[in-house]
Amino acid sequence: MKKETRDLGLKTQTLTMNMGPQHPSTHGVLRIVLTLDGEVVVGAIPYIGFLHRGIEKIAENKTLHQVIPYTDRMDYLSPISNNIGLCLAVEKLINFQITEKCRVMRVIASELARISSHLIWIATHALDLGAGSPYFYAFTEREKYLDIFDEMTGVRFTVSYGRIGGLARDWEKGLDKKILNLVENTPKCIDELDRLLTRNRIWIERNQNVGVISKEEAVNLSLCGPNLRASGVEWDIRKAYPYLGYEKYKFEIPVGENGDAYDRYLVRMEEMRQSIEIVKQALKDYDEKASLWPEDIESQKSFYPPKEKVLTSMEELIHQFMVATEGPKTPKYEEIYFAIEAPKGELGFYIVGSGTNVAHRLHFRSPTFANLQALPVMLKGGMVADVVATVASLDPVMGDADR
Amino acid sequence: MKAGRTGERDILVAEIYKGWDVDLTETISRLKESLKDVEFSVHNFRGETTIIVKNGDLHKTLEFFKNDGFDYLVDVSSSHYPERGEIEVIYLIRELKSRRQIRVKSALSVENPMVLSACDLWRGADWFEREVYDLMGVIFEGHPDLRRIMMPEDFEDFPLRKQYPMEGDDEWRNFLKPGEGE
Repeated sequence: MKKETRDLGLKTQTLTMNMGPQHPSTHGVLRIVLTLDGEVVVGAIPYIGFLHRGIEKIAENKTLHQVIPYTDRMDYLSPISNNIGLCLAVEKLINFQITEKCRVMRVIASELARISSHLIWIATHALDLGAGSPYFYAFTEREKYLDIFDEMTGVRFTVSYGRIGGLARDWEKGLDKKILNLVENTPKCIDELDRLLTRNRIWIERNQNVGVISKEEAVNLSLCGPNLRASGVEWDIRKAYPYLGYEKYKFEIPVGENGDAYDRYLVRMEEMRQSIEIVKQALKDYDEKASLWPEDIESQKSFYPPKEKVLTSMEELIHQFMVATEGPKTPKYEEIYFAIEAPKGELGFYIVGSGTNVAHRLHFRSPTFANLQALPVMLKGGMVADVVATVASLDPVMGDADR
Repeated sequence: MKAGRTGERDILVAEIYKGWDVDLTETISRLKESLKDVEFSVHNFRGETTIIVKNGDLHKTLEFFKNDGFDYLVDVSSSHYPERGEIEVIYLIRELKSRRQIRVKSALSVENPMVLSACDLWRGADWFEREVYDLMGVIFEGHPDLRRIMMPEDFEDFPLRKQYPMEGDDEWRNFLKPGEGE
């Protein structure tokens, strides 16, 4: 029977739908205004700034040491990386050389931060797509990392561990053994997640060919970190501009091919394994007996002395006071840019000195801000259900984007 | 290598921050040849190269670098110098293949901070320039979508300018005070 088709006079029109800022899958306060044609996304405008605290303005009015706790609250899933990044940038500006032990400790701390940040990402990404179990596997593992951070820094979450010229405190005896034990057991957790997800039919269907961005577009849109690498660009600050002696360690940069959510997943999973390798190698360099603080008196004057000495010796108390009030002198109106490979991507610090211990201008080039910019390109032409997968695969942290 | 203050010995800096100072002399001589009418000065500090150009030449210079292979826009930032009455706009660009990295900046007057947008060269400049507009009040001509990005849309001031107060009554000029308007 021939089906009769006739014009009913019905019109279709696009629908504008608001997503966020209180949506559970936007990983914070991200608002996206979607224009929908049925189930297809024809336009998307992200709105950010709901978590803007004006950290750059505050940083212009505080001493550089006082800025360190604010960096904790930027990318709050990997605070150690931010602390160390700021310290390295200021050390570049004032031309300060840290000790070998401090270097090794910073490498280990920032790689542990990377692993714990990626574990949160896989947990929330899977949960957004309806997979409940990986959430618990990943969070259980991450809890062990927080315990290590607790022992290392005294705080589980907002650690403020970096100090200009060094670190807040030395490690307790035997902590390196605990870290080694932890990273040797983490691959078990990653393998479990691997078995749950990588060849899971639903996971592949929900992630492959979702949120695709080509190599050229990714470079043109200033995408960074694992998202850039998933599009097939071999770029990692640790390899390109090695800092903290990363050139001494053997590790590989995982690179994707298609630039879709599935590749971003694969890249981050491999990155965790590579970070474990770096930590293992760095632990071999760790010398428990060496001093975290430099030997000569002139250098000791430039940054915080160990806490035990402050409480027992007069000179160190004076040092502490002088560092807290005067601090490092930055060269007037000289500027530097320094970037580290944070878990989310390239975290850069642009500092203009002022002649005192307060920066004339401190600008953060935050990775999430640059990554979210590509969202309209990724979402366009996709299905509305894939919006959640695309946003989660970018690994946004709104504290980082809004600053 | 001994730890501690390294004084003015810049060799040590090169050792710590390996790779940041890729040789740029060829690039700069090419710039000199192709843009003969552009006056610029070069500043080196800690192995980083800064090209300082006049406001009108900024877009031309950036276009040259884009054609020279600088495919990645790292960052756009700004800095206010109240004693000179100037706002600087700073573009940091990079070529991923050769790891060349250069900073191009230009000073604008505070009264009329207008500059040509680089959105036509790198699409990534979009949000970075919006941020500079929002917080510093620099107007980017030719920007496709110049709106505030961090602050509320009805906000009138530019918080990163030095005269914007950090405390006192004046700080509330854009907001309702606690208890007002309820």
